[in-house]
Amino acid sequence: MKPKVKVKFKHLLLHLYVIFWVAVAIFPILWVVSMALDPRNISKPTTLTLIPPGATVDSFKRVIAHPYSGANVTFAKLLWNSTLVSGGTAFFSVLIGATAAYAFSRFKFPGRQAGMVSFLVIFMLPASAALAPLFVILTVLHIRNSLIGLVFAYTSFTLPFAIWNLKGYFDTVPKELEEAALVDGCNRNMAFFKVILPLSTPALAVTLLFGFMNGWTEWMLAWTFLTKPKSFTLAMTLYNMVGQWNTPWSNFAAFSILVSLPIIILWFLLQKYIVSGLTLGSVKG
Amino acid sequence: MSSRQNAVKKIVVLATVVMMLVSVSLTGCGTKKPAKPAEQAKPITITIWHSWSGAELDVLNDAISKYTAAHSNVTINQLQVPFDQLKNKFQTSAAAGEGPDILVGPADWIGAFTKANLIAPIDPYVDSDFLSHYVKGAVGQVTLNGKMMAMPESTECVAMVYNKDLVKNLPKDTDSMITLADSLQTGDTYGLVYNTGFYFTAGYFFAAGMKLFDANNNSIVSQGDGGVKALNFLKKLSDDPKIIAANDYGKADSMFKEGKAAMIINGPWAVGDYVKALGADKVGVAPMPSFSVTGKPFAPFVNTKDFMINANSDDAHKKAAMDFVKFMTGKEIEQEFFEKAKHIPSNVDVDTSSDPIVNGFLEQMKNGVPMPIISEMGAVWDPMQTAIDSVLAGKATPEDAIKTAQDAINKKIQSTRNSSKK
Amino acid sequence: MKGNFKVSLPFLLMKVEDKVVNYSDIGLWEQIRRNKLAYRYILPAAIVMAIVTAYPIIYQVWMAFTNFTVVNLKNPHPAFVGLKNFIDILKNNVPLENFNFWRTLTFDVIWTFINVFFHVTIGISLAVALNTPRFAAKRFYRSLLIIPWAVPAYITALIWKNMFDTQFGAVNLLLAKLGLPHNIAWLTNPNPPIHFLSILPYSFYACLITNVWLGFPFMMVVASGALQSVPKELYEAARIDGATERQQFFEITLPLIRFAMTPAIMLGLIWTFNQFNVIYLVSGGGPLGETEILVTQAYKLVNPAGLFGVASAFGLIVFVILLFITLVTNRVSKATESVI
Repeated sequence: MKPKVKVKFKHLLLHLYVIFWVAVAIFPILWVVSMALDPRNISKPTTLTLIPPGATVDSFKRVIAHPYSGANVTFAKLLWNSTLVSGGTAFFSVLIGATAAYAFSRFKFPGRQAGMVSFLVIFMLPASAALAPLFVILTVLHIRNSLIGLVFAYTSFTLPFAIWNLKGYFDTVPKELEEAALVDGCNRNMAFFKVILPLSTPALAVTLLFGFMNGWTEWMLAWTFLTKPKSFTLAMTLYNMVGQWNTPWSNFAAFSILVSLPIIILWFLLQKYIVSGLTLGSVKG
Repeated sequence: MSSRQNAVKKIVVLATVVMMLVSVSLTGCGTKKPAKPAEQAKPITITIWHSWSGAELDVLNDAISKYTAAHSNVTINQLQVPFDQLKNKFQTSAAAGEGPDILVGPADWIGAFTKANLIAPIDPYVDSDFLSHYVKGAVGQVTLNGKMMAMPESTECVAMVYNKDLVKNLPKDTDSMITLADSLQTGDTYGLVYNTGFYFTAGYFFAAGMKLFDANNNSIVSQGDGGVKALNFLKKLSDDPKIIAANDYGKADSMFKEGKAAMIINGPWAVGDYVKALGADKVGVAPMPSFSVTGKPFAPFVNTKDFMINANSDDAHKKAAMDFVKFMTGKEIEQEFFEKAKHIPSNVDVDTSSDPIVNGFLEQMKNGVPMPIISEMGAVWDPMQTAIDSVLAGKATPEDAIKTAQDAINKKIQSTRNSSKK
Repeated sequence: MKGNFKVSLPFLLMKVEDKVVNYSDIGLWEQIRRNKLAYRYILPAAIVMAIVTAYPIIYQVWMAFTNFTVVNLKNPHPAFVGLKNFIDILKNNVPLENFNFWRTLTFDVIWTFINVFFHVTIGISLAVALNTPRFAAKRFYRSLLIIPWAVPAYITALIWKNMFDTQFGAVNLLLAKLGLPHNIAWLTNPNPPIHFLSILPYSFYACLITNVWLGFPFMMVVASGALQSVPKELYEAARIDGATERQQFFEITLPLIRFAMTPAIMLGLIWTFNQFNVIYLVSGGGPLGETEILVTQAYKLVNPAGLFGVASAFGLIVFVILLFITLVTNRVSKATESVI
């Protein structure tokens, strides 16, 4: 009996520990939900209640009807723009990143080491001063004031990490598999698509997710580059809600929840890939 | 009379009439509208970037629809940008040869933009007759190196905003203000909630005798004891447990809205919400009491919000833009800005008598100091704020703090001057 | 690996073994010709990155040696000033208030290591707890625990900023409910709560709480994955030998997950060192620049100060520092690895 009780007690302690951290993890979320439901829409709430008195979903209705006070863009349009930009970034990050990572993993070509090093350089260099030249070059290409320009910029920022991570993952895929495919009559391209990619789903999922997140949540470049409200994104309009002096917190909270939901859903869908996708496949036997 | 003399007479009369007719048509009956129908019919689109929201934005949209109804060839696009992104966005766009035709921004952007050739002088489009309708101080603030670099839309300064229920007699000087504040403090209600941001507090620095710049635009804030006197005053407020003195705009704002603060310092942008929260009869605005230590009145910064014209726009666009700007700063729209958004007009023709709140600010503005827009001014904010914050936190004495501030300001100024040398 | 630094650098940084083919007996053009396919694979990435990343970065490197400011945006012929920007930064001679390079650097390093320490310890402890055999509701807990990671960081940063408000923030309200001292001016009080740690004001703790909240799920997830690869037989054997839980943890678990955790920790170090969102949006680097980290300082040099040249130099300095930290931590972790 004693060992069983001991185990149960240990489990109880562990549960309490875990529950504590769960509470910490969800506390701000509960707070945001509470603010979103608060009918007063004041700048600063004064009491700590989960469901405020007179809770309504008016703030949600308000922000969906009129997300950007500067022009009449519908929530649907903003959502569509964000989806385009994020989807585009995710897609190109995976496509371009995987092909480049494959080359770095499988071929020993001149400039390979320089390339790998340069990725780390780009990853670690804070590029705030690069805003101005980036502005210029995208303008020259006539894509600056458009979502394509954003996709271009965001993909470029996602690529270093994507290539580094994918290469590491590809390295753990045994070369024998490709060699077998090549012997069977595949060329390199087919080996890449039919052998490597399917085996690398976790890392691809992670790249997809990071690319999507970058596109979905970036506001700084977007506000510097875009001037046509019809092309604005959700992240931009959310940032615009934080006013110079006072923020209408209920609106902001409601909009935050709406903007976060797709990401959270995507996260949960890809949850099982994230672990293996990030640990360079070292968990594989 | 001979028939010849008759004929001459007729010719002279006819010629005179013709000349009169010609001259009348040339001057257009005294108005200055050069009638160029061909040019007016050409469609033109002008863009305006701003960070207005709420009532201000409504007025803008209203003005746009009124103007475009009267000028069918003009299309006006407006873009609302978060304030902290607007300066950078304009800078980058204008430098790349793009950007809006009109930018709405505070006067302290004018200095840097002028130096970088991003905005254009508006002198060609206004004359002294037109400008005579505007507050002299406002026009003065936007003039740099003899050129007028922007058109003021509204003016502002901070003043005392008080709750009429709690404050029955306005204090005349700071000593009586402190006494009143102490007496009003009960429970979570405070007599005075004082925002110690330098912008809000500058009025007492100037009342104490501090000067910002000398003739060469170098900072002299620690010259004389004005700075020290003002810092001592702020420390006194902060040490008083019955007074809240902190660099926290939101606190004073929310407390006033909830009726928990009797007196605060704020500007016209906030009063609309206060009236909504407490009712128009409860909110009063008056000049801050004079500084007991020197007997001088509170002399806040007078600042303008202006329309600036992009240097990249071609002449046709500049002209069209200025035409719209003149409409925006004309009596009709300025009156709307005043009535709906409580802007304090730069146009003197606006009737503000209906509003004791705006009159309160205008009263305060009589003692106001136009805020310098020279680029050296940009170096002032943070060091002065550091001085205030460190004195209130007990981290420095007023004497040291003000000296440190002057050194920091001048260091910044020197460095900027050095880097702009070629 | 000794000798040629250029060769060994990537080997230091990459954890994967590369088989070194001796290319010295094949000519360069021949090598390129043989690897045409590789270049074709790389081409898209190279193009995108050359335009959007490489060009601005090269331009930024050039700007670092000039006195480029707003004036030069329209007229890009600034004066070449050599190392002046770098020297000005290192001597704190920059016209930006509260600019103190060394303080910012020290703070950034302390910030990074304390954060990652908490990320890792909390992450591993939760991973181990959830990995306990027959632990109920494991998946449920895990899904809730990764919520901080799933919600976009800049949104939660703004929310945490709201929560740390002195009068009306949820944190102080919660403390009040629990009967603890609750008038803490998290974001505006420049005095440090712990005197001998005077470099850490209240807003540091506010940012710390926010960033730990944001970051522990990542470490937990990586640790969970790493734990899967530890063979259960080792624990069995240890238990038979009479090892306690604690011994098992320190002698078996930790060493074996180290290999998998190391890249995650390195990532975490870099991400935290450059954690722009939390610092900029929660404390704004304040009060008085006391919580400024290098990247937020770099941003302020651009917007609103417009000192592009100085900002570029600053970026280069940050890069060198990060590189140094990466190399050091890599060396350290490699050193301990060989001991196992």
